[in-house]
Amino acid sequence: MNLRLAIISLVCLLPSIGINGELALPATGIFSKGPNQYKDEVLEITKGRGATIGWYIKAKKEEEVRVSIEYSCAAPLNQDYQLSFDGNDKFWKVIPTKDNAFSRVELGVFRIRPGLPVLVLLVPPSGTKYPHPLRFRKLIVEGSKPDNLSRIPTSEAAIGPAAPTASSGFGAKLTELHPALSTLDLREEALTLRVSGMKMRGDNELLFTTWDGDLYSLDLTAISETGSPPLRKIAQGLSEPMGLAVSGHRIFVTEKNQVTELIDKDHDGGFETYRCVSQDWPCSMDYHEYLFGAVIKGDHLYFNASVGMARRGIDNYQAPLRGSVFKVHIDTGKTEIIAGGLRTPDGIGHSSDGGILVTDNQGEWLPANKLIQIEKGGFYQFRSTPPRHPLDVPKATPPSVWLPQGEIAASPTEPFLIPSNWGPYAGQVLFGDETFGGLQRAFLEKVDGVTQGAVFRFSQGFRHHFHRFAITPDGELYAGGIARGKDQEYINRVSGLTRIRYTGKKVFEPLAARLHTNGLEIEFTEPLAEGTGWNPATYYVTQWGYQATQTYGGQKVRHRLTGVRSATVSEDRRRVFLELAEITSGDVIHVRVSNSLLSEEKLPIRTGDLWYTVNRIPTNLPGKVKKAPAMTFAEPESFFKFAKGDPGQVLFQTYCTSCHSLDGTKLVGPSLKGLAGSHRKTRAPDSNELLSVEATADYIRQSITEPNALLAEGYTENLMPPMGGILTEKQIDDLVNFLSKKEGRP
Amino acid sequence: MNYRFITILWLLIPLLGARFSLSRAGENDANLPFDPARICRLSLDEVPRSISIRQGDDVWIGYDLEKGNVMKVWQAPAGSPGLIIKSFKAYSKGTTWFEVKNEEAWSLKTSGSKDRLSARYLGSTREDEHFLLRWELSHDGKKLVLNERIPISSDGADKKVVREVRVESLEPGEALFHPMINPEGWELTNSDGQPVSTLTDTHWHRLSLP
Repeated sequence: MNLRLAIISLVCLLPSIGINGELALPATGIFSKGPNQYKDEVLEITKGRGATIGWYIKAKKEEEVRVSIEYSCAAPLNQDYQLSFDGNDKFWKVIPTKDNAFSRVELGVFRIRPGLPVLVLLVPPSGTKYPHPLRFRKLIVEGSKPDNLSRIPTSEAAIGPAAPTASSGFGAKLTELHPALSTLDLREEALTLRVSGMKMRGDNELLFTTWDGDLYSLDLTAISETGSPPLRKIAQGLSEPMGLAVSGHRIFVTEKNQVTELIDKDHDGGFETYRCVSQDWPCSMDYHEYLFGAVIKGDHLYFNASVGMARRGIDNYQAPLRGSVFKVHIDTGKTEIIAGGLRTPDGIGHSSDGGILVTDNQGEWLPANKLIQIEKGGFYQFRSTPPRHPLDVPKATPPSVWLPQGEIAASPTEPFLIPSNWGPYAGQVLFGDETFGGLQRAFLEKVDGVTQGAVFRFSQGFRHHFHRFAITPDGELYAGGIARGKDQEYINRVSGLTRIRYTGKKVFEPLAARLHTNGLEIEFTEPLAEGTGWNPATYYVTQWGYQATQTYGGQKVRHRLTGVRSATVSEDRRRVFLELAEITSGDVIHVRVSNSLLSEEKLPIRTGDLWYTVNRIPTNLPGKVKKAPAMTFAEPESFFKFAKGDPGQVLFQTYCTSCHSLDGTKLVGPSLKGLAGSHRKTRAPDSNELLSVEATADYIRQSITEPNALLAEGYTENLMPPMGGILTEKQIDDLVNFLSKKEGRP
Repeated sequence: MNYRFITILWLLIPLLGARFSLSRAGENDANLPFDPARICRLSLDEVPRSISIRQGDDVWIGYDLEKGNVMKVWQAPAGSPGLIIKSFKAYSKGTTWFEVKNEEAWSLKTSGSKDRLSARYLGSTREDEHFLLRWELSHDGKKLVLNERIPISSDGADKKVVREVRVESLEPGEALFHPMINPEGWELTNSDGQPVSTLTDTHWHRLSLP
C-alpha cells in the first residue's frame, strides 16, 4: 500500500470529527444506497424506495445545529425530500441547480441532545423513480461548539446486539396451535370464502361478508363436526365490503366507497334496499382505498379508510381524508373524522375501557406495524403529499404497541377482546394477521392516561390467515381468513372459516408486562418453580426506537442491549420484576425469557418473547427489588446460546419466513426451496417479458433490494417490500450468503 | 303453542325459506335482490361511485352516483355481456347510445333565481318491477328528495331506454331542471304524457331516449 492510498484509507475509516463545530455526513457513509448508484463520492439518487440514506451522530453537549446539503439536480422533482433529525422532520423542495453544478443549501435548524446517538436521515420520495438523479455529496451539520459533534461509523452503528439462537416461540415464530385451543375447520371445499366482515346476529347466527360481495348466514346450532357448514347466502352484489356491523337487527356494511345499511323492510328474507348511510369523503379509483370496519358504539358506526397505493410510483397522491378513522351516525349519516394518519388500518375493535382499537400495517411512514387505542384528534403519521390530512401535526401520536415487522406481525387485522371464560387471557386483546398468520396477543395498560403495553406470541397452527372475528355468548370464537394476490391455490387454502374453542388446559407462558419507573414486571400464567426466575441472566433484554420515513419500512433505531440489574420474583411466584439499567421513552423493550424456565407444576415455558412499547415512564412507581434467596443462582450458566453459525439464517427466520418457506410450502411469496443455482421463471414488470433467470447471488441480492425489478412468475408488483430499506448492507450480505449456499440447502 | 301448530310451522318452514335459501353459496342468485347480472355496484368506467343497471336483456344504464345522473347508456354486444369485470371494477362494452358530455347539474328555479343543486346519494331498492335510486338534492338549506326508477323489463317500450323520475315536496312555483333534457337528447314527459322541460309537480315523469 503506498502512502497516498494509506492516507485515503485512514481518512475514509475514521469517523468524521467535528472541527470548528462542523460535521460532514458523506454520501459514502450511509447505511444503504438501495437501487441508486455511486459516481466517485457522489450518490446519484433516482429512487428512494429500498435505500436508507442515514448516519448516526453524537453530541457531547446540547446545542443548536444547522443542517445543509451539497447536491446538484438538473430538473425539479414533483415531490419533496424528507430530512429527519432525531425524529424531527423538515421537508425540502429540491431546487434545480444552475448548469447542474453542485450547490449548498440549508435544510433546517435543530437542537441536538447529548447522550444516545442521534439518527439523521435524508429520505427521497417513496416509490417514484426519476429520470434525472439528484446528485448527493454530503450533509453538513454545523454547530457552534468546537469538537462537540462526531459521527459514528456506519459499520459500528448498524450492528445491533447479537441475537440468541432462536427456536419456536423463543425468537422465532410459533409453529403449533396453542395447547389450550381446539379448532374446527368450517370449510366448504368448493368455495373460496375470503372473509371480509363478521358479526353475530343474535346468539346463534353468524353473519359474514366476503371480499367478492356476498353476505352469508350460518346457523351455529346446525354445525356438525364433519361435513360442510350449512351456509346460506342472504345478500349479494356488495362492493368490496371490508367490514360488517350489527345493531339489534340492523345490518351495516362498509363497502369500497360508502357505508351501507341492508334493509329487509318486508321481512321476506331478502335485503331489497341498500341504503347509503354516508359517502361523505373523497375517493379515487385507487385499488387500495378500502373502508375497514366496523364497530358500533351507541348510534355511531366507526371504521377506517385506508390510503391508496396505486400512485406510489408516480406522485404519491392521496385523495383527501384517506387514512382517517370515521364516525358516522347510523340514522342521519352525519360523518366526523376521529383521527388521521393511518395507512392500511385493516382492523378495528373495542377496547376494554370503551375506546376504539385499530391495527395498522407497516410501510411508508410506518416503520413497524401498530396496535393503537385511538385518541380523538390523534394523527398517526402517514403523510400524503400536500394537501395533507387536516389533523396532520409535526409530532405524531405514538401507537399503543409497536408490532415489529416479521417478528410478531406483518399485516395485522381485526383486534378483539378475549372472552371472559378464556382463563388468564380474558380481557386481553387478540388480533389476526393476513400474512404472518395465527393469533397474536396484547396486554394494554395506562400510564399517565396514555395507553401502552406489550405484545406476545399466542398461536399459529391454523389453516386460515384470519381477518375478521366474531364471538358467541358462550365464548366460542369464529375466525374468517382472507388472502390477496393471484395465486388461487394459496388464496383458497388460507381463506375460509374456523371455529376456535378455549379448552382451559394449563399453559405456562408470559401473560402480561407492566412498566415501572425502574424496570418491567412480567406476569406469568402459572407460578414459577420455586427458586427459579431470580437470575437476571434468565432474561435477554434489548431495546430500540423507530423512525418513520416517507419511504417504505424502516430500520430499528439505536438497537442496543439493556442491562438487567436484578430479577425479583413475587411472593406468589407469578410475577418477576426486572430492574433495567435503562428505559427510554418512545422505545420498544424486547424481553426474551429463557426456555429453561419451568412452572411450579413443572410445565415447560411455551413462549418467551414479549415486546413492550414505552410511551410514558411512570414517575413514581418503582418496582420492588429484593435480594435473591440463597441457592437461586444454581441454574445453568448460560441461558442463551449465541451460535457462531449463520447470521443469515437468523435474518431469514426473522424477516422472510412469513412469506417464503424453505420446504416447498407456498405462502404469500414463492418457496425458496432449492433456490441457489436453480432457474426461476420471472417477469419484467415493464415489458411483461417472461425470462428464465439463474438464481445467482446477484439475482438474490436484487430480489431482496429491488423486488420489483424481476417478478417471480405469478406474483404481482409491490407484493414484496424492498428489504434494502429495512436491512443494513451487512445484513443483506448475510442473507444473500445464506440463500446462495448450495450445500446443505433445504 | 299446541302440537298441531308446531307441526304446521315445521311444514311451512321449507316453503317460507325457499325463495332465499335455495341458492348455492358462491353463485349469483337471481332470487336474491341485487343480482350482479342485473345491477352492478362496482365502479363503472373509472368513475368510483357509480352503478350499472340492466334494462331488458341487453341495455345497460350507468349512473354517476355523486352527480345524481346518468353517465352512459349502452347496448351489450349480441350474445356477450355488456359489462367486463376486472379486479373489482366494471367496464362497459357494446354500442354506446348515450354518454354524458356536459357538466350540468340538477338545478332548482324558485322565484327569480336558478340554483345549482348538489346531490347526495341515499341508496337503491329492488322493487318488483323497478330498480329505485334515491338522492337528496340540496342548496343553501333547501333539500329535495329525488326518486329515479328504472323499469327492469323493456317489454312494450317504444323507446331505446325508459326511466322515471319524481321529486318529493316540490313547492308551488318551483321548477326542477334536469341536467340533460336538452341538448343531450332525452325526452321528458309529465304524468299526462305531455312533453315538458322541467319538473313542476311531484308526480312521476318519464325520461326516454328515442
